[in-house]
Order: sequence, then C-alpha cells, then structure tokens
Amino acid sequence: MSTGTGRRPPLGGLDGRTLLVLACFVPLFLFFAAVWVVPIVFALWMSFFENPTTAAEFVGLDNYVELLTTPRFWEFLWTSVVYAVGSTVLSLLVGLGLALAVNRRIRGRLGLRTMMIFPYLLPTLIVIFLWTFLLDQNVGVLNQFLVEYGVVDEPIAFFSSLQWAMPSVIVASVWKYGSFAFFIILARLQAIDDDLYERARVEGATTWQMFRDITLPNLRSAILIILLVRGIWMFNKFDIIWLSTRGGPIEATTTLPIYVYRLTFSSVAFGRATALAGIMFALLAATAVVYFYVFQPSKEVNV
Amino acid sequence: MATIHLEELRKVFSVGGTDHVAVDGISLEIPDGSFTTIVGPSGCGKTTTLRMLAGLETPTSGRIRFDDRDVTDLRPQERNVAMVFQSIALYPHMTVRENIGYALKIDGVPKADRDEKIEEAAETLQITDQLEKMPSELSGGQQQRVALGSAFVQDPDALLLDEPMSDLDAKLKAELRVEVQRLHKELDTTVVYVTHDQTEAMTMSDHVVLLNEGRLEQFAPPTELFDRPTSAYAARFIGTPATNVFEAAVESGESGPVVKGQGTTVRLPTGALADRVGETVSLGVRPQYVTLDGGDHGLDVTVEVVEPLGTESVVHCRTADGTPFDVVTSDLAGVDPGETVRAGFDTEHVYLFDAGGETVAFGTDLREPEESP
Repeated sequence: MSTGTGRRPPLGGLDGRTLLVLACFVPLFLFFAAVWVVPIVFALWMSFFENPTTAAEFVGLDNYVELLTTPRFWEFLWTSVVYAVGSTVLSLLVGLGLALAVNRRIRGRLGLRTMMIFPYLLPTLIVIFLWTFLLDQNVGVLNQFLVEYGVVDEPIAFFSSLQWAMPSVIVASVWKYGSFAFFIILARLQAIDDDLYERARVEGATTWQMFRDITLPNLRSAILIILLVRGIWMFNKFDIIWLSTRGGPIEATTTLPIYVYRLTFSSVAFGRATALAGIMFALLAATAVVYFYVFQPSKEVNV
Repeated sequence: MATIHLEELRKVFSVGGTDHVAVDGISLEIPDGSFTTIVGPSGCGKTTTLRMLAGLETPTSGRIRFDDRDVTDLRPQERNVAMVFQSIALYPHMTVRENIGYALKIDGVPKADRDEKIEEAAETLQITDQLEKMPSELSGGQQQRVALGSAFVQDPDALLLDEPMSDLDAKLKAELRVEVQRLHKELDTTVVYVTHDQTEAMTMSDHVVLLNEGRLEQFAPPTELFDRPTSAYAARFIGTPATNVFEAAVESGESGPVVKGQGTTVRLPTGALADRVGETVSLGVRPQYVTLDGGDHGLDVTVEVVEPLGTESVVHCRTADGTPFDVVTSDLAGVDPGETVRAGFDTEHVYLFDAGGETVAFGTDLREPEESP
C-alpha cells in the first residue's frame, strides 16, 4: 500500500476492505445463529430436563440413560441401520448400473438420462401414492401379476405385513433416490479418458478387467461420498417411511427419526425426544469421522 | 515381429448421414522389423490407419494381415500389438511400475517375472528412479518414457505409435527420437509411427508412407522420397522449406522441346517429353539446390524475408508474378529485403510435374547427354 498522504481509515483502524468482509459476514452469521445454532443448543439444553417446556426440572443425563437402557431403542436403531444401509447400497447399485448403461453409446440413452431425473423431482408424497398404489393388496399392479403368473396364491399386503413392509419402503426409497447416485456416477464416468480404455483393450484387458482396473478406481471417491452422504440422509429419513407405513406394522419400520417424532408428538416427552436426537447426531458424527479416517474419500484419482 | 500387409484398406465414417472417407484404398506392405512412418497433414487418415492396425477401428473394406494371419476382424485384445497414444494415456491411479506392468498382469505373468521385465524396461528408458511414483508426478518426457516402457515389456508383433511426441518441446523431441530408435533396435519388432512432422519421418524411418486425403501418395525410403518424389504434393510435403514450384510450359525449341517459365528455359534432352509439347507443367526445385548467381538456369526473384538458421539462412522471395520462391544459402552478400537477386539452379535438380501434379521427369534423367562448352 502506498503511504504518503494516505487516507485515514474510517472507524478507527478498520479499512474499507475489512468493513466489506464484516458487512457480508455478520448478517450471514446472524442468520445461521438464528436458524441453526440457537435451535441446536436449545434442543441439547432441553435434553437435560424433564418436562422442559412446562415445569422444567433438571435431570442431568437421565433422559439419555433411560433411552439407552430401553430395549426398544436398540431395536429401532437396528431398523434404522437396516433401512439406511439397505436403501443406500441398493440405490448405489441401481445408479451405478444405469450410469454404466447410459455412458455407453446405447440407443435411447438420452431419453433414459432425462427420465432418471423425474423420481428425484417428484414430491415424496406423490412417490408414496405411486408405490402404495403399485403394491396395493387389492388393486396393485404387482399383486395382479404375481397372482396371475402363479407366483403367489394370495395378494400380498406389501406395506402392511411384518415381512414385506421394510423391503417395500426400501424399494420406494431406492426408486426415488437411485437417480442421486446415477447422476454423480455418470458425471464421474464421463470424466474418464476414453484413451485409457483403448489402451487397456490393446493391452488385452477384458471388459471385466477394464471395469475393475479403470472404472472402479476412478469411481472410488464418488462411491464413497454417495455412501456417506446418502447413508446419513437415509438414516435421518422421516417422510418416506412416515407417509407409507407410519412406522408400522407393529413398529416393523420404526426407525429412530420416527421414534423421535412419536416421543415428541404422541408422548409429548420433549426431554427424551431431544436426547434421542442428540444420540443420533453423536452416532452419525462418529460414523462420519471413522469413515473419513478409514476410507479417505478425498484421496482423488489424479486425472 | 511381423510383416504387415494392407490390402485395399478403406474406412468410411458416417456422421449425420454424410459419408466421410478417412482412408481410401491403401495397399502396401510394411516389412518385418522395419521402422515405418505414416506421415501426412492433419486429416489425411494416418491415425485412422494406425487405429485399424490396432483393431480400435474396423475397416469398411479391405484386409489387414500380420504375416499370414488375417487380423482384420480380430479385436484389439486378440492381436499382439502395443500402442502408444497421442495423449500418452497412463492409468492415473496406478504407479509407474503398475502402468508398465499392466499388460503383463492381464496376461497372468507372475509378479517376479513381471518385476524383472519392468525393471529391464525402466533401465533402458532411464526411469528406474520413477518406478514408485504416480504418473502425475512425472514430467511430460518421463510420462512418454513410461508409455514406451509399457509397450516395450509386451514384446509385440508390432509397436504402434500415434504422434507420441506432438506435445513435447523440441529438445525433448530430439532426445526421445533417439530413444525410440534405440527401442526399435532392442525390441527387434515392426514399428509403425504416425506423425505430421516430416522431420521425424525423415530422420527415424526405414520407410515412409505419405498419405494425402486418405490415399497413398508415396511409399518409399526417406532418401528416395526426398530425391525422387512421385508428385508435387510429395515434393512439397517432404523437406523444409518446401520445394519451390512454379508454372511453366513445354514448347518446341530448335533442338527438341524445352520448358519455359518465369523467364527461364530448361532445355530437354533430345526426344524427352516430345509428346507433351504445348502442355502446361510445373517446375519444381528444392531451395537447398538453388544458388544465388550460378546454375544452368536462373530467374529473377525479389527478396522478402531472410531467416537466419545459424550456418545458413532461408531467403523467402517472390518471382515476378508473385509465386513464392525460397532459397537456402550461406552467402548473404547483397541479399536484403526489397532487392532483386538471381536464383540459379541446375537441370539435374529439377522436377517436372504435369498439370495433375504427377512427376513426369526428374532432373537427373534430363541431363544433357553431351555437355558442350
């Protein structure tokens, strides 16, 4: 900076640049504080109280202890893991398969690519209407086929049988969220240099060897990110399960978010509900840390 | 090792309903163990030809044989060729060692044998210190050596190189040219090398395939291509600066036909070109064979630009009617832009092309039978 006659910085020591940064940063900080930090801290604060909204009584970690010692918590945690892992892994496989197909020069790939965005754009409510209709016991298309071709004798109540409720919810979720994996993987596939495949062919590699040695290593970071992000989202997923089964039948699809909801609005146990949310947060944070430590998804292939 | 036979090889690409002929009926025989360069300007079909040899493109018609084995319809995996791509195409997620050894790994060669071959190749190419590095850590020249190394370990029937040096600087090019030739000797295999750079073609190869818009223009050793080009196109493409070509006409003189153009007259030996009297032809002469004041024939040219190259200079001139005319000379006395000088040349260095660009006579064949004083 030139000295000499230099203008005196306004506001005692703050130059225009700092002011500009502050002017941009402060409103943003206030906004996030209002919509993020305050509610989170408030929720955590509530989790240490009995009846925090009415006759608040400090109970320390009692809410946490009570939850962790209930067998149902562990059942719901297991259900959550089954749902999160099942829907994430399946949507990854579906997305990967379709992306590989679309990435080849097949007929109608542009149409397929366009169609893939629709499930993701459709409101969850519509998706659930669609799937409850498809899988309906009385008028559902799938049941009609199954009965007609003699696969089953009686129509199956997919969303309301203990055995089929979870698979049905997972299928509906995969249908909606498979396109997420599809688009990320397709973008990555298109970034792989075609010459690598040509070189591998000249070197004698089979299609499978090319997939294993070129495609997969290049997709590694994309796949790891999809697993982590989608996994966290599915672990926290509420709407698709609530709208299709409300956690039933007999709690067969009650995941932790559904349990939080029921604690809050059915049992009006805000203390335990917020404590459960805190536990979920801790679990996901721990998973994410371990995940990044073990897999290092940011270790990109240098292209 | 294999002799590569191309028979009426043709490749047509259909883009949006219009056909584009990339390679138009090439027949030739690339000798076993030779270093053959396919050269030509962009879009002449040289890379397409190479890709058909590799099996990456299927010919529209025609056959390719390696010795007696017809490989036309074989997939790249089923041909024993190695290829170095223009983009180098190293696997970015593998170390240099894994890159060089990938073809061997695919072949199921045990690790110990693999490592032995990789290290031998690395030593030949002087990249032993780079073996555990990733390709992105290497310089362009080193990456090129790795690509050559992975071709080296495969012991191929044919080594195909697609403009491997187009992205390198001049010094590195000169270095790798030597490297590639050494590799050729060591491998003892047939090398087919594609380039648009005629210097590379001239300096490295046993045979040069010159293509022109998908057609074979000339297939000959470099010296023959330089001394006896079969067309004006070949004469102008090979050699820098390009051969001077100007229009002339065959006329009948006192003692047989003569070629007249740009104010100069080339007398022909008795009987030569008698059937072409009255035709328009082109006269070609290489700038290296043009001298300032001297030679059997001469024409007045105006100097435009002088490019010094060290020991000699290229003098860019124009004839009276504006045709460019270059002279390579080491004597620049009196040669200044704007000056008119006399460019002379001898009959033996002249090429005569017909109206279609085909060579009809070489100067060496046109020398006067008796040099009368």
